[in-house]
Formats: sequence, C-alpha cells, structure tokens
Amino acid sequence: MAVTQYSKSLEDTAERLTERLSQAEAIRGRSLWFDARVRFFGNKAAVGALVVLILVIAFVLIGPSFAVWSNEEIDWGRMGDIATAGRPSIETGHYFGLDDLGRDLYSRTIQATGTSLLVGLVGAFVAVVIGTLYGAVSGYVGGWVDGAMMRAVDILIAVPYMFIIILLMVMFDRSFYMLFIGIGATSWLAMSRIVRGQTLSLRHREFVEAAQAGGVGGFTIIIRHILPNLLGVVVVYATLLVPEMILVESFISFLGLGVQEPATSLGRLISEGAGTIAYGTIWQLLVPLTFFLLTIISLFFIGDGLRDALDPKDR
Amino acid sequence: MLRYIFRRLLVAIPTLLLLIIICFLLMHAAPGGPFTSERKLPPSVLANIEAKYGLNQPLFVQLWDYLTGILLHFDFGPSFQYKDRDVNDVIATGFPVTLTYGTISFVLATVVGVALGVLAAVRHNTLLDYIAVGVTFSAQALPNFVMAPILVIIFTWQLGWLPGGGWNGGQWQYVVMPVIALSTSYMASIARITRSSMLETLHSNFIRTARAKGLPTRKILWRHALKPALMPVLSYLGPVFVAMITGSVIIDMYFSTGGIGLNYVNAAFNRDYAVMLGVTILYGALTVLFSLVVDVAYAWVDPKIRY
Amino acid sequence: MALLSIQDLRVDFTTADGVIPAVKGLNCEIAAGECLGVVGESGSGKSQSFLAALGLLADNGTARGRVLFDGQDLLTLGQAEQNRIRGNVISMIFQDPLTALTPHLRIGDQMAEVLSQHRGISGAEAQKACLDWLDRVRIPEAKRRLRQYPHELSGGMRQRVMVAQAMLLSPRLLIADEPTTALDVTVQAEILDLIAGLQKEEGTAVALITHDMGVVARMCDRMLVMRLGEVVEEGATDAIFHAPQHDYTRLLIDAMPRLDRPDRTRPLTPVPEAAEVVLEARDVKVHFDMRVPGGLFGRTVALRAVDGVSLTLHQGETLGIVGESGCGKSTLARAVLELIPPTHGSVAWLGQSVDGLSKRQLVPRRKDLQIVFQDPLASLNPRMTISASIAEPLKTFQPGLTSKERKLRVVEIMERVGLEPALFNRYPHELSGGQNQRVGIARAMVNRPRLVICDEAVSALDVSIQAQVIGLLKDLQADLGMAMVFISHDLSVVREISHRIMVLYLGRVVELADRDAIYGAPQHPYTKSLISAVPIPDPRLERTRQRLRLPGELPSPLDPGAGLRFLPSRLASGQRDYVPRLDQVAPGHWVAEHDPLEAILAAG
Repeated sequence: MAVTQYSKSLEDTAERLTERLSQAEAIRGRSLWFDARVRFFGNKAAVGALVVLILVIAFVLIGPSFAVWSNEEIDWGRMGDIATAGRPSIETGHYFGLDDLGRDLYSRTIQATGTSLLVGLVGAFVAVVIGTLYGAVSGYVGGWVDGAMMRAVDILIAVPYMFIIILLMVMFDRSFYMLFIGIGATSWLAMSRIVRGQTLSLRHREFVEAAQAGGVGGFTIIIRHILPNLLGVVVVYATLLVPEMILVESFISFLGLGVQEPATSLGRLISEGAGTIAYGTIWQLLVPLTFFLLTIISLFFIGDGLRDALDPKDR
Repeated sequence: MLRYIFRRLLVAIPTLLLLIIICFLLMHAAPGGPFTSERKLPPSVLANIEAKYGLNQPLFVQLWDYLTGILLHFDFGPSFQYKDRDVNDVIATGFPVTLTYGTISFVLATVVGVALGVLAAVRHNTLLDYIAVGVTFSAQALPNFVMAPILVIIFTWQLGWLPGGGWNGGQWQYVVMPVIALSTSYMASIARITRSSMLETLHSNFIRTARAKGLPTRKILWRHALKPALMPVLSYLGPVFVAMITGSVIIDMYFSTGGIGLNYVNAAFNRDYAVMLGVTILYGALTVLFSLVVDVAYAWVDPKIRY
Repeated sequence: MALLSIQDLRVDFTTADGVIPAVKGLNCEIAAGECLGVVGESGSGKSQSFLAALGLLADNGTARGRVLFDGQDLLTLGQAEQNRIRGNVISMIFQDPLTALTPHLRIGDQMAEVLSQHRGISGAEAQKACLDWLDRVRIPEAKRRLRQYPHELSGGMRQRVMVAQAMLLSPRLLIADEPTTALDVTVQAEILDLIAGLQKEEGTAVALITHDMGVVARMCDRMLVMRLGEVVEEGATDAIFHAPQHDYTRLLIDAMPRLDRPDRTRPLTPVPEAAEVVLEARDVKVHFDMRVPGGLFGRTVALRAVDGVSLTLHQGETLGIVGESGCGKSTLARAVLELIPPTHGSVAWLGQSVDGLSKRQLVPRRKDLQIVFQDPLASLNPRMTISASIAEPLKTFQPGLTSKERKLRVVEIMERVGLEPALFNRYPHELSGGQNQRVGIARAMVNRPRLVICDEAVSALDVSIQAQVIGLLKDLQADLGMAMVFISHDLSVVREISHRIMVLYLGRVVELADRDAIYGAPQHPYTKSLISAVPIPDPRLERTRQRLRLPGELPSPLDPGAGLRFLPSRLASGQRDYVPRLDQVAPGHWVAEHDPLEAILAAG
C-alpha cells in the first residue's frame, strides 16, 4: 500500500514536471549569437557594406550573361584608336571600354573581381584553418610545447614574407596554386597568435575548470567549451583577413608576378591601368579601382561591424 | 634596461641565423638554377659559370661559405646578373634612397596617425570624430599601388605640380609623392588603433582619479592617458614597418626612385638569386632589429615590463 | 549650514536600450566634520550620485538638480571652476586601488601633481609634503615609495597612497567610494581607522559609500539607505540600526551575517556520530615556480602556495576555510580535487587514495566531488543555455539517461535550487548574479555528490542574495547529506555555515577547531586579529570593541621568514626554515605554535 502510494506520488511529480518543462521549452533564450546578429543589423554602415558586397558578388555571377565580348577577344576594329573608340559605351558592347590591347574591360573586370574574391576567401580560409588549429593546440596543451610552437611563430613572423612570395612566384613560374600557398603561409601566423591567446585565457576560465572538475574529457572540453567561445574572434579576424589577402594578391599582381594572362586580377588591372594613363585611357584605371575599393572597403566595414557585434565595447 | 636590451639582442641572433638559413635553403630548393632557364647555354660554359659561383659544391658547403662570408666579412657574395658588381655594391647604391623616404613615411604615418586618433577620441561622438572615422576607414583601402597612380594623375597630369618620377638626390619635389603613397593606408590604420585604444584608456579608473584630482583635460591626456593608449599602437608599428619596406618595391617601380626595391624586382625577373637573397636577408634583419626597438619602447611605456 | 547639500539630484544614462534612470531624486546633507554613510546594494545609484556631484559621470550620463557646496551649485560650474574644487576642497578615493592609480607614473609624481595644480608647489617642497602624508598614513619606508610605481605596492599600501593623495590639501569633504571593498579584513580595519583618525584631526567631512553595514556601524554618525536610485531611509546610525523603519533596511540588517550573534540563524544539521570520512588530505603541499628578477634571464623561486596542510572531512559536515588573500585557500581546494596536482602529500576520496592516478583514471571518481565557484557568470559557458550547463554532469556520468529523463532531472534540480523552470532555455547573460549562482549550485548538485567545495561561492553577491544562497546550501546539505568545504575570506559568512573552521596563513594551518571554539575562544594571535578586524553591524557594540592590531602588513609568500611572523624568537635565532608545530589544546582544537602576543607586538 505504502509502496503504491509512493510510486503514485512519483508519477504525479513526473507529470507535473513534464508539464512545466513543456511550458519552459516554449520560451527561447537569446543566445549571444542572436544578440550579435541584432547588433550587427542595427549597424547601418555594416549592413550597407554587406549590401554592396552582395551586389559585387552578384555582378561577378550574373554579369557574364550580359557580356557582348569575351575577356580574350580582341576588338581589332577599335584597337587602333583606344583613347577615343575604346571609351566605355553601351552601343559598342564595351560597357567599361577597352584595354590597351583592345580587349573588353567589362569581361576582364568580372573575371578579375572573381579571381580577387577567390584569392581572398581561399587565403583567409587557409589562414583560419592552420592558424586556429595551431593556436588552439599550442594554447590548450601549454607548457614547453606551447613555448616551442610560439617561438617558431616569432621567428617566422620576422621573415619578410612578401619577399618569400615573390621568390615562390619566380621559382614556380607564377603558378596559381603557389600563390595560394604563399599567401596562406603568410597569414596564419598572426591568426595563430590571436587564437592561442584566446585559448589560454579560456583555459583558465572558471567554466572550463568546472567542466574539468565535473569529469568532462579534454577533447569534449575543447569541442564543447573552448571552440564555441573562440568562434567569435575567429569569425571577426577571418572577415578582416579576406581584404588583406586581396591586398597581398593585388600587390603581387601589380608587380606582374600574379596570375597569368589571359586570367587576371584586380591588382593586375590596376597596374595596367596605371601604366597607360599617359594615353588618356583613364577608365582603364578607374574601373578596376572602383571595384577594388568597393570590395575592400565593404569587407573592412563588415569585419568591423562583426567585431562590434561580437565584442560589444564602446569604440 | 641595458640588461633587457642585451637579453633581447641575444634572442635576436639565433632568429637572424635561422632567417638566413631558411632563405638560403628556399632559394636553393628552386627548380632550376639562375643560369638554366631562358638563355640556353652550352653545358661546358654552364659548368664553368657554376664553378665560378661555387654552385657545383654540395649544398651545405655553399651554405657554410655563405654564412661565414656574411659573418666574417659582411660579404653577401657576387651578383649573378651584373658581371662586375657584388651584392654589397647593389645594396649600397639603392638602400640609402629607400631608407630616406622609408623613414620619412614611417615617421609621418606614426605622428599624423597618432595625432588624428587622439583628436578623434577626445572629440568622441562629434562631427570631427565621425569624419575622422569615415576618412580613415576608407583610406585604409588605399595601399601604395593604388595611391601611386592616383597621385600621379592629380599632381603630375592634372596640376603639373610634381614630377612623376625620379629621385634627383632626394630633392623634396621628388620625395613628396613616394612618401604620401607609402604612408596613407598605414596612417589611417594607426589613427584607428589610436582612437579605439585612447577611448578605452579614457574610460579607465585612473583617468577618473586624475579628473577627481582636478587636473585639466590637457594634462590628463598628456601625462596620464597617452602612454597607456600608445601600447597597442606600438605593437602595430612592427607590422607597419615591415609593410613599408615591402611597399618600397612598388614605390621604386612606379616612381623610378632608384631604391633597393627596384633592384629586388629586377633581380626577381632576372633570377639573380644572390641579390634577392641579400636583400631578403637585409630586410629580415631590419625587421628583427625593429621588433627589438618596439620591445624596448614597450618596456619604456609600461613599467611592469622589467628586465 | 550644511557643507554639502544635494537637492533633488537625478542621474540618467543614455544607452542603446533607451534612457535609464540611475538616481531618482536624491536629497541629503553633510555637515562639516561629520561622517555620512551611504549604503545600498549594486544598482542602488549610491556611487553615481556622488560621481555626478563632482562632475565625474561617464559621457552618457546627465545630472539634474542642485548640489550645493558652501552655497555654490557644483552642477552649474564650468570645467575650470570644477577643476579648482576637485582634489582641492573636495577629494575622492575609489574602490579598486590597483586600477585607480596611473600605472606608468611614480607614486611621488602622481601625488605632487595635486600640489602643483592647485597650489603651484613643486620640487623639494612638494616632495616634502608628499613624504609627510605618506608617513601620516603609516606607509613603511615612505621615501622609497615615492620613487616606486603602483604595481610594486600591495593593495593595502596603494589604498593608503590614495588616501594620502586625497588628503594632501586638507580638503573639507572626502568622498570614499567603497574604499575597503577590495581589501582583506585586517587591512580594511586599518584603512577605516586611518580615515576615522583623519576625520577627527583635520575636521574633514566624510561621505562613505559602501555596501557593508558593518563598516557604516563602525564609522558613521548618520546614514542613508538607497535602493534602485531612491533613498528609502535616512537618519542617525544608532536609530536606524536599532529601529529600522523601512522593510528594505530591516532586510539588509537581518541579512548581514553576524559574528556576535551566532544563534540568530537556523542551527546547522549536526554531523552524525561515526560518519564516514569523505575527504582526507595528509601534508598537502603545492609549490609554484615563480620567475623573479635577477641574473641575465631572471631566476625561479618556489612559491609555497600551500605548505603542508592536512584535513579530514566527514559525511554531512562543513569545513570552513578562512584566510586573507594569498593564504592558499583556493589552491588547497583545487589540490584536494586534483585539479592542480599537489607537489607533495596524499589525498583520499571516499576512503580511497587518489595519489598517482592519471587524469583519465580520476574521471569516474569525480562524480562524487563537485565545486562551486566565486564568479557566477564566469563559471558558466556563455554559449550554453543554463539547462545544458546543468545537464553536463548528467551526460558525463549517466550517459544511459534518455534525453527526456535528463530534462526531468534538470527541471527537478532547478526547482530545488529555486530557479523557475521557465528559465530552462535561457543563457547566463540573461540572468542575475544570484540566479547564475543557483545554476552553478544546481550543476554541482545534479548528480547528488558526496562532497561539494564552495570557493568564495557567495562573495560576489549582494548581502540579501548572499543570505538566500547560504540558506539554500544549508537546506541542500540537510536533504542530501553531502559534505562541504566552504572557502571564504569573510569570517562571518563562514561562521553561518560551517561545523569546523580552519584558519590558513601563508599556506599553513594556524588554527583548526569547531566554530564555537574558534569564535568563542580563539587561541592564535592571527585568528584573534582576524576576528577583531571584522566590523559588526551594531554601532553601539562596534564603537566599544577593543581591537587587536598586529604590526605590519600581510607579507608576501615570497618573503623569506614571512611564515615565522608569529614566532619572532625562532626568526631571531636564525631558524628561518622552522615549521611551527600544530598542538592540540583541547579535543579537536589545534593551534599552531606561536610566541606570546607581547613578543609578537614587540617584534613588529
């Protein structure tokens, strides 16, 4: 009798709790990500920049279907007099004009913007993957391993990497892959330092200690407690790395050591445009420059907006 | 303090050695030597040339010779490209030019950047602050290779005020555009960093104490806020310095200033590995030296860093 | 006429979430030479009122109303006129002496600034004035301090510098904003004495802003109780303490744990006879390598954080560990939990030795040992909902539970610790400090552990919340019968909850006894000085109390010979490495060997 009563009361409790639970679960908490999203979309400059960037990407994707000329074709008829006949014009189909060899700048700009964005994304991706892994391991393992790994970064950071990239490009005959490798290799160093610093401070936070005291394994701690808290910093720096990678690639291309013709990049187009301003073909400089600035500035603003959103401080 | 500097120097030496070795090995891992490509040379001539430059020796012997050459005689070896010049000679002609406009650019970017940043922070949330933020943000996207042609269009082609290139012994008209081109984007970055770190400093407790003491704003800024606010700026100056010496390549190319960057690009196109290696090591050494200077400056700003 | 008269002061802050009123119409007066206490919990607007009066609000704050000082309205003054008053006739000291002094300026330079700014005094004359004041606030080796940087001084010494700097020009009003909150009790007692002395000698009026009723009872003639930006009660300190009119005042006074009235709260559940031993530690030592200047690359010195501590804890018992900062209490807790491997000694959990076990081997045994931390927000993963945090130990040790069962267990424990189940999916940043600490407790209790270590678990909470959390812990112990180690710097809090109490000093036990013995008949001079330093929230009692003041500051653990502060005779005979013996003076009452009190006072 007593036993049945006891189990009855247990059932009652369970029922009551289940009911309260279903009410409770209907309420969604605001995660830090949610707050960050609200803050980001409240930032007019960042949202504007995001719109601009989306437009640029859309142009790269949709633009080719409106092109009259391909990026390799030479318009022989207008080649002789580019300064006047090669002006940007809707009628001729050269919306952005011709370059000094008589090629369509519209198609070339689309192709160049695509290349630059790709280099930026891939370079940043390489940097994020290597840098995050390296930094997280170094910071979490600690001790002499950390010391050795960071010493290595100190030394590598002292190497003037732009020169190493130039070296690689010369040695490997301007291979596109070498460019990726070179750019990725320059950029993960700073990333790894940042991630390591963050990991180190997270490792000594009380919630990690609580997990350790609670018997949670080292791997689970990294996955469940360290990485999600690193993500904010990583996202912000990744966003800021993209324009930096584009800058590096453009620098290399400006020197004439980047991708090979007929493929091109914004840096290369700017270089060509800068070389021909004496002939009065100023659009050759202005068009790629506009796309370059739009992309870089909007990426800067997005990165900055993300930083404010994820790390709210009065700046 | 002296002990601290000495200790930092001790750490810098192995870094430099490693740097030389890494660069040397990278260079020699290249597919094909300096004389293999482009011009086809008869095998006997090639062997002769390679013997002359010691390229037929085992790699570690070459490395040893190279290292001892640098350490004992400060000799970076002969150039592959110019018959009668060695690397030291090439550096000695180009480097002073680069150093001149590089130093001016660096000082300009730092001084103007910091001043602008402090001003924006002090006038936080005023029109001046907004303008400064907007301008610096956009200017960050104006690297030297973008600035150079824009400057030439404006000052040479449109206004005709400044010569479009050359050096002319460093006459001021020839220095203005290289310096502006090289410093603009870093000036903007420095201004932004200064502004945000100054804002943070101005919100700290010790500034409140200083205000509670009745000190005027000017004194609070100079005596209490400036040093701590400069710390993030100091650590950014290292990368700025590196970026500027790298940027000199563009400046030399675009403005024909005749600095070391031009030699580097020429060497790259002519596969003159000796000059490339020499210049890379020179810049690496400058980088190491400069990070030492930054560290020492850091210790000067922050009394907690002791030696 | 009143020296300072605040009339209908209102302070608003403009934030992203709109305008937030911080002070909603404050009226108060301070007469020349009197000490006014302003009491309130966090968010009461007590600090903001006086910052506003001095024009030191943050940029997004605005102040309205009138603040009359000598009949002059401070709020209408221009920047330059305000500067003439600040630091000159009204000066202020702040809570955190570490961040309140400019880190890169020498002490002497920071102080002299006040003189040159307001009086045009500089050079040797200024130097002399600074030195005089450093002597008056009893800073040892004052001359050397002038050339030092703030980080080279201890917390107590920094706060003395703050006081000296504020008093340089003999102001007529001193505003002290939580001046002792960040300090240890013995240091707090000295700073309070110092301020009280200056008030008398110089005739300075003092506005003392604090959350601690004990401090007010010791220091103030009149007091003001604030809550959520409003004054709830005002009057003579005696009257308010003995006949509080407002419910909130009564709540504050009742919530204060009191050393002098141990029977006021619900009694502890007694420890059953012959209870099982849950935790046993023998001669535990934890030494850290510290890098100190010296030689070309510096040298390392062993910091003895914990230096030979033994303890035994039974089922259902609470052991309180008290000591000042740097005494090794938190390190000891982490060492017995094997979160920091002890350098020496042996530890046994539930009767089984855990010495030499690897981290992996320890994991299954951790189920029965849990820890609750000081900072409620920092001890929760900001990216996990609180239910996920609470469920983590369940996932680890009872992986067989279905998610439904797990949820039920979580809701059950949430109800048990007084958390609404509606908070189930909330994140820590959406909760208050008290709620988050309940989450931490729920996480520790969900697996029904046998031992819970509370490391300063209530120190970061407001008094009223603190009392609730202590009540909760006692209830849980009565229900679940677990053993507890309760670590705190606050002797009165420890008394509320502990059966036995251990006093630590620089990594060693100086006294261990049950709570009545420790508070009723303390034997060791250090214990005596600690107890006598705690202010009692009763103004009549507090003013007549005799204090035992030991000479000198709390020494650094790196100081050679610091451990023999209570055995100057051994130090004098050159036995620097002597380890004081623990003697049993009564059953269960252990006291470390020490010289007679007179000898210690004479040696200082």
